[in-house]
Amino acid sequence: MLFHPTDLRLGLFADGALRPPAVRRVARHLQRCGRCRARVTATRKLSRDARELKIPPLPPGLRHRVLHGLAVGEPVIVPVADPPVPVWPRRRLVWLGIGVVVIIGGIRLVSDNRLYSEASVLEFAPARPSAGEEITVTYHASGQLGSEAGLRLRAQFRRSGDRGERGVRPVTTAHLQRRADRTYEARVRLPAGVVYAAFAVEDEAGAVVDHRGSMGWELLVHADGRPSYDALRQRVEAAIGRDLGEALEAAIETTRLYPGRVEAWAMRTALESEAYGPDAYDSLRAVHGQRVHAFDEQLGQTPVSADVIGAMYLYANDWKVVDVTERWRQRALREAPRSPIAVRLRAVDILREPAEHPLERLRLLDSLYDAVGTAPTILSSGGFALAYGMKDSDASLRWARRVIAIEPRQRMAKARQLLSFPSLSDTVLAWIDGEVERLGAPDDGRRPLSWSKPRYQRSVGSARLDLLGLKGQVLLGLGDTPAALAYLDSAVAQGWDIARFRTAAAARLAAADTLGAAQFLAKIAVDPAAHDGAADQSGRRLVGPSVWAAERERARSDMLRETRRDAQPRVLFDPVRVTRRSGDTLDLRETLQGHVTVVAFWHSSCRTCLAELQELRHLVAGLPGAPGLAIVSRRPLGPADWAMLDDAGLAPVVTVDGEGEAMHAFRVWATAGLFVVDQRGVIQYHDLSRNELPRCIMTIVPMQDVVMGAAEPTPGR
Amino acid sequence: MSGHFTDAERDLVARLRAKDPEAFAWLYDQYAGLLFRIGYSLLGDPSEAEDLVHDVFLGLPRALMTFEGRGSFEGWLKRVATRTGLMKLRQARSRTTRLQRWGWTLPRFAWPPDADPALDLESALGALTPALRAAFVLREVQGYSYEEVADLLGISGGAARVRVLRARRVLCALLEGY
Repeated sequence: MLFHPTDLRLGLFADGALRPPAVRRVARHLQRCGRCRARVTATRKLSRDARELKIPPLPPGLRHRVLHGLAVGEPVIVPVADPPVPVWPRRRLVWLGIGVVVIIGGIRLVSDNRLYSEASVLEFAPARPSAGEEITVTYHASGQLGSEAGLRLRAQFRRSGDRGERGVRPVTTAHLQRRADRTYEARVRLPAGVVYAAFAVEDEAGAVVDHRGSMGWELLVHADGRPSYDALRQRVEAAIGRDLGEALEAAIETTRLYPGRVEAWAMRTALESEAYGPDAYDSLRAVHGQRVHAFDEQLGQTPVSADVIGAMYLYANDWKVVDVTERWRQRALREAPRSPIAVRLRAVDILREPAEHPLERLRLLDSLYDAVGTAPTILSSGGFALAYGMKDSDASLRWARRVIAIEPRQRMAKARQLLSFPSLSDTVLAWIDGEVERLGAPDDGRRPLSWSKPRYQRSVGSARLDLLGLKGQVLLGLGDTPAALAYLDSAVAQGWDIARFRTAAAARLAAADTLGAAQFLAKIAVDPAAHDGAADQSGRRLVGPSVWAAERERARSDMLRETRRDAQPRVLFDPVRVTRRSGDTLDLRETLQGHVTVVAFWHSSCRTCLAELQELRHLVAGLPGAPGLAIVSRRPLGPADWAMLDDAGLAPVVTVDGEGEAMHAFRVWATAGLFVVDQRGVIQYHDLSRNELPRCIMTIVPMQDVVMGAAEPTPGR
Repeated sequence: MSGHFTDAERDLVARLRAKDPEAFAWLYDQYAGLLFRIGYSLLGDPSEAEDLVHDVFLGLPRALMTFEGRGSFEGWLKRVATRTGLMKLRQARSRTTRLQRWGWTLPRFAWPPDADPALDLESALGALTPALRAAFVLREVQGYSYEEVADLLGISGGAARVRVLRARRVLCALLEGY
């Protein structure tokens, strides 16, 4: 064997899952290759350690909770059926081909300056601007915004070198003025350095936002008659935060227009491996492996930037071209030691040094951080993990601050971890206070482009309540019960969160406040998704049957009120054409009239989801008022798909969204939750989890139907 | 891992179907630890594992209607617990936004959010994505074959092998001594 076996082959060898001829070849290779031998040894050690994984003891109260639940017959459905194995394991390769077709369509869409959002259109003139150019923006409003006198144009500008969403915030860039022909217009000059922009339009109050289904209207700076490389790169960065498929399309477009940029290929590779999954690995490797060698030959003896060095290392490493990987690794460490990739490699080397010298490893990480300043996440998170593992409070705090400097959103996650150090309680409390204060006056500049102000304020409000609950927990741990109770009360004053109620109930019990504890237990007991019969029993025991009944009634009323706050009614103005199995086209809105319906979207390549849909069907059938269920397939279905649906008893409730109109109407772009549509055909609740479903249904079904039962499924509805 | 449906198990299942409280108590004492282990290894959180044990036991009366005795009862019970764990994993994943799922940087440029390169396997498992964690745990902790892993996850055998490989690769990078 001239080459090293692949990692997959070595893994199968370690498992004993290779066939005999291959076993002999790998065994011969291992006799003379220490590197591969070490990998096999590591794999076997990992397997041994996994089998001896430490598990915490069983919680003492669980036995009672389970046996009590069984005694009272709490209804729980668990999945019992194996999901069918894909009929054709290579289906992803077909998708790869389909993806290419979709991409071509996508490219045409991007090159068009008229981009559509429901009934609205945003036009740019010129459609292919140069850097810093002034642009006329014309908005043809949809029904929702068409009556406004003026509108706001918000934009997210990106410059070369921006990564992810760090430091990239939406700004109000212009006010659109209404013209006689009922369109809106504004002039915008692209700020210096901007190569990519995404726009959204909203009313002056920020209550209604038109954002092209979360995609935003995009504008790419052009050079030489085509989008610049930097503009395309930023388009990928922007898309990664929204939708993987969209990001991959943008990456493929980048390599098509700039095939000589190894950075583009490295970026595309990372996305391909995520999007197509491992089945496509071998096929893709054959193509990319050759290109890795070609780039290596072309760039190997040439001075190149740190970005190119990093991209070459990552590209070669992804496709397991071992010699090229090692060459560019050395080059990164030698020629660009402060580049992100070199720092990442150095950090990993330090983290993997022998565990018996943790202090020395921490010192090396500190030195590296001091040398490079703001560093890749792996250095700061690695330093924190090491310090935290050593139970060194000072070092943990130091590294936590470094993590937060790079990722401010990590602040509260780190705060929770630092709570294990009593000496840091004051620091953590100060962090929490600072964050609570910040969230108390939400900065609209942080509002995501596609979010309305009410949605943003709800999100910030919920985060603030979480923090108040956290502070209550900290104070409880410090023995300051009165203050802890005050904060916990604030945390549960709004919203509906079973976890918060459990904490509050425990705190009240600790303070010997039985009535207070019962009030929170009642909230747990009335939520059908909590499945907590023990809460019901405990509450009744604490306050007696008559008080408990009153508390339950009050809790139920609270639950419905809080749940209604989450409703976001949206009328489906336009027809939503879907097809039945027979091929007949119908308007989905008509099937949603007259009864409450739960709408779920299904991608037929997800076979496991089919089992989930069966569970969903049982769940929906047992909901108050026995609502209907509508499943919308996101792709055409073949006879085999329909046969599977027949077996699962789901075929009658499935329609096909061949034209993507349902996805558009429900604003579904990737993994979607569940939607609840009321009797009038208005979407009331969006993107729900299954736990949220029962109480949302309870808010809209007629009161006489609100009796939890276990009715049989009604697939024909 | 299927085994045979023994006479003792046949009696037990009959008693469980008859909703005999003593049979359930006996079943809890025998298997709760095993189910908790399955839940904890898959979900990485004691309270989630507790919920899994709770849900599996409370779902048994209905689930037993579908048990046909083609393999051992213990094997069937483990698979129900595993599927319940996978369902919970998927539910947790679907709750996270696309923003959280894909992060704001390319996956390999950044350490996974909230994942620390910790010093023991238990913590390092927390750094895996749900898909990789599920594949690794099913194969390495629970000892399923690759084909069984593929069945449970609804993916092909090849995909199961590659997921386990990718999980091992991440863990080896995070852990010392590998």
